[in-house]
Amino acid sequence: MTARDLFYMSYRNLTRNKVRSGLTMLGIIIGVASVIGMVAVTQGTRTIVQEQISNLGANMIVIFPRQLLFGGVRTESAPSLTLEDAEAIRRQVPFVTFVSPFISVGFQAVYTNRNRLSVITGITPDFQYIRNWSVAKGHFFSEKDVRLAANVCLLGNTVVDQLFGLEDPIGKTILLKHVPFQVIGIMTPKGQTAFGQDQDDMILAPVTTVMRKLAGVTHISLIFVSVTNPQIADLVIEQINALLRQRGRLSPSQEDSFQIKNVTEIIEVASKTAQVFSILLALVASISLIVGGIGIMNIMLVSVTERTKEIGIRMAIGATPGDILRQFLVESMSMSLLGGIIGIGIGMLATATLSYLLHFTTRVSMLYVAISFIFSGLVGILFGMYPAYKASRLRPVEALRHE
Amino acid sequence: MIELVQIMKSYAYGEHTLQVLKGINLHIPAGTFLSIMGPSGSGKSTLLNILGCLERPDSGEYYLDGVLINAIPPVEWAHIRNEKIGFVFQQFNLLQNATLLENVNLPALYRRGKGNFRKAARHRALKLLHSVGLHGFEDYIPSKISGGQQQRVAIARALLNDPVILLADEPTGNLDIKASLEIMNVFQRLNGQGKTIIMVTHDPDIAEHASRAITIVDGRIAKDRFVEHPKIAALELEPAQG
Repeated sequence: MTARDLFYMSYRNLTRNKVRSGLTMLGIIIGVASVIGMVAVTQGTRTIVQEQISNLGANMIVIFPRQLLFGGVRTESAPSLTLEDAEAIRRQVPFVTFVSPFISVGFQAVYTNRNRLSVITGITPDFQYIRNWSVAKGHFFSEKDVRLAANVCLLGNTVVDQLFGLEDPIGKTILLKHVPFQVIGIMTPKGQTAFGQDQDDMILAPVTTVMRKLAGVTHISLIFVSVTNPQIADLVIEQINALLRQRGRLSPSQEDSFQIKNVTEIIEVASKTAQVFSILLALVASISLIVGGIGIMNIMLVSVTERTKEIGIRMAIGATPGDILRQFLVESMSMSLLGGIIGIGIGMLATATLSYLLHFTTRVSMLYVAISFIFSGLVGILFGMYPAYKASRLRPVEALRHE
Repeated sequence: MIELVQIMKSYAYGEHTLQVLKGINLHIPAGTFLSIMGPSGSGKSTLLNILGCLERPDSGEYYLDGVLINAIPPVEWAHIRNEKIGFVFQQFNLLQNATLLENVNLPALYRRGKGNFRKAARHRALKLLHSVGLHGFEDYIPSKISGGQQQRVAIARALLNDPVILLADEPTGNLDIKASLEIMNVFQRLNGQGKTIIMVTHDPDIAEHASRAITIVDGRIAKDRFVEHPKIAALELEPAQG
């Protein structure tokens, strides 16, 4: 028998019982479609998260004050980081390109009769390079502004809309905690984060100004550091660690009073999470494919019983057990492959509809399409094997006698 | 052509063993039209199954076309059935979901050795279907035609690979007299062209169309005679047609 004979024969047999074939394929269709859809949604989300994390700056290291333990109770962050620490890192640690201290406070921003509760972030000009931020209009403040603790600020789009409407804010003065600040620039809009946070709802000012005139503190919350190359991030972290321990005069037995985090690590954690999720999905997929396969096996067994006479006729006419085996295998494989193809189609369609209606970012993974296709074929062969074997073992005389 | 030597066959039913064939010796020269008669359970169908390479005798020797079938592994039997034997059944046994032409062409699908013969087989299937009087019915499915017509399609199918013997198990058992005579007419015509035909029947009138008739009783050949004046189906059909 040629392959063409086999496929034509299974086409004839499957179309003879359209409803039954369709229902049998349903298991595979639903399994494959849900895999394609789910993977598309998670891959889409994963892409957004990765893009946004890398927007944070791939070569970025963040230094946090260590949360101190008092009698087993974790209290607020200890005020351990200072502007001098940041300056020391910049001067003494090699392979560091930019360093920016960071502090943020929440205050009412007032312009004429309008106001808005905003987060005021105190930083140095280095910060814009670490985070890849840019100024849309006006200019960023200078190192000199930081030294002099100048009352200047830059606004995010949301703040501009709220306080100024259509008015041009450049050169205008806003009040933050009754302190006047001159607006010198507007930041390029960045939109929302994956978690729905508005990244344009912000006011940027020199770190010294925020510390002294708004927060009234002498410490800073974080230090952002960027390194020349992500490969040497660990080395840089080690050096910063040694430097800060020395500056804090910590004895070897004492715990660090700070914590250093590598953003690349965060990305790694995120992609590992995504990986775990993918494995889970693959598991769900294989379960649904197995269930679909059992459905196919069930129907193929019924079909073998129903067509016992036909098998007898074919054997009498010269079909070998191998011919019969191949016929039933091709039939079950055709059914599961067709189910797989329909499932892929429905999955893609559902994905497209979902991203159109709900504005989800989705990405149909061609890898998963290929895997689904191959797996549905394999399921057909695997679960068709037993019924096909059973058919091929029939004795022609008995099969012919079957009614 | 066909030589059976001391063929024995028994079936086990639980603890009991039923001896169906108790030593059959038979020589059938090429070109014979042989009928096998006998009461139910005499073993005539079992004998036909052994002749058709569908069942293996317990002992004895079976030569077909000069080949000792016992010596051939059963795996190869499918090929012998395909190439040397044509079957005609009481139930016609056509594939219900295939057209008449596809049914006649079926043995070609299982033929060893590919090449040009497939195209030739299709052409031959068409010719055979026409020769049994089913011109224009190529794309019909079996349930749309009469029993007599179905049996003629089955004969055409049996002849596709030009077998050395044609085996018929009660070919007229499900047919009326006229349809039966038409089948006998086809057999006699084929026999006239030199085809060896072995037919099991329980109808003495049908058996009279063969050139030789044997009767099996209780697993042994009880009677073996040449039919002196076989009935001619073509002549019997004439008054009905006129």
